[in-house]
Amino acid sequence: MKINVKQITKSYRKKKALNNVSFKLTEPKIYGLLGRNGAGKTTFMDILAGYQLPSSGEVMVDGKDPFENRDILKHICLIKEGDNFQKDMNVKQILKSYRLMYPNWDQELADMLVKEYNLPTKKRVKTFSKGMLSAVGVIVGLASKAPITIFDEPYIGLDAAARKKFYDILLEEFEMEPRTIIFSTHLIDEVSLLFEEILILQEGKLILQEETEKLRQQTCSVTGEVAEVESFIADKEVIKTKKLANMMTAFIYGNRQEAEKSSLQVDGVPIQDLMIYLTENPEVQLEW
Amino acid sequence: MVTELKGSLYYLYSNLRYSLLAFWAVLMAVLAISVISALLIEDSHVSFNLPAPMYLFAAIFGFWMVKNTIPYLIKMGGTRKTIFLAIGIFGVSLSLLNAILANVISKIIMSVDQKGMLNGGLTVTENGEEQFFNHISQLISYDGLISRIYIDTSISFMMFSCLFIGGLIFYKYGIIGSTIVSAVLFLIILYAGNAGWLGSFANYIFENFSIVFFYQLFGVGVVVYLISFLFLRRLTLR
Repeated sequence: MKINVKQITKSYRKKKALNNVSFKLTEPKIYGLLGRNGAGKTTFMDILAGYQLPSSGEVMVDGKDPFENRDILKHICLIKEGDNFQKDMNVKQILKSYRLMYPNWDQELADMLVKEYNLPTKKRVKTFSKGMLSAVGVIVGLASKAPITIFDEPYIGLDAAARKKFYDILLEEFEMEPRTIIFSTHLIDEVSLLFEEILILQEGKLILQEETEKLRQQTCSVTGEVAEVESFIADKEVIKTKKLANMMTAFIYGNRQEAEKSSLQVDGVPIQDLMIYLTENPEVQLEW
Repeated sequence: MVTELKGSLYYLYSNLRYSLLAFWAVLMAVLAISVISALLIEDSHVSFNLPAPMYLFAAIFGFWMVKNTIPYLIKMGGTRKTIFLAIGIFGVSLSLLNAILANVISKIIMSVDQKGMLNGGLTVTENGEEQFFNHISQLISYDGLISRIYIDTSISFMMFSCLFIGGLIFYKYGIIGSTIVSAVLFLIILYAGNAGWLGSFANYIFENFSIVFFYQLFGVGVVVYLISFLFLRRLTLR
């Protein structure tokens, strides 16, 4: 399904959570929607899932407005970090409700995941820990098989092993049946390898939309002796530098081939550092 | 739409089942204790009235439903139109189910009461004669199980609708908005009272009191419920 965001603005009194944002998501990919707190990520996801209406502009899914449009909404599943389910219900009831609401629902997958995460199905979810509640969210999101599945920090409280299990299953499911997955998280380094395309929002504006591979090609980190690294980065856009004893690492924009020709050790730049740099330096205009 | 409606109804049922069971369990426990006490203690009388808590329950449910079901149904991809329809069906069904249960239970208890200890309501003395008053349908010409069920359903649904619309206003406009609406309603009622409209209306109802009034009451409940869609149709989640 194609998502076309046209100049959307969402204002809450005087504050603009989204300010004239436009972009398109045209292919089934895993998209990373990144940004600092208050950047407008959740607001965008709420509008896309029909929870909210924009103040101006429009979000179209396959050319249709998702708000109050069941033909579109049955193909969008948004799982947030909390308050996804009524606390008086149990897992069995929640899964059955979602099964009735989502036409592509995969009950086999849901049952398998319930076992995998070891969830009691007949206990009301109000007795669950944060991790268990997140596991229910993750199960619903994956089993919905909605062509547009949105995860907004879905794993609060899940331990590292449970998160890894989630990433593995997500990837496995995506490989079997590609769909548009929008993933918003603050644990960027942990999931950045999953992202095929990245969108970065900053104070309600889209400051970057780029394929991850291209980003990796156009940025690099160089490590070597301080003098050597400083000389190499003198005429380059530097994202971040780290020094330890006589060694220095610099994350830079620019030609990776040039760096590889030097005697310096060349690696990729963590997406998290790139995001921090871009959001802290809004004046930086990238040309790819 | 049928699957969506089915999903929404299933969600409402599983969500509210626990509260409904808890309500009836408490009511039955209190009733059982009262009846047993009446049987054990000599010369004792027990008055009970099941419809009154039922009306209250319907009203609380109407208000509670807004915050505790609508946002979750929207999160499940439900449209406001279908949610409105599902809650309407659920509200009528709940009122009817409660009315049937309340009246059938009352009837059973009254029928097993051989000694006249359980009068099930108020005792009114008129011209030296004692009359047991336990249901509003005793004021109309036909007092039977069906009319009692119908009357209770209409009052329950009316209460449900009024509090549902109140809940929607509260959810949509917050404390300030709902306080303003409540104040305006209060002023209207005060004015109507002062102008004598309320008194005339009450007189009119009293003089023409019949089952028709409850048809009208149910109709008003439906109209109030339909009006609530104005607040629901563009409702966004906070």
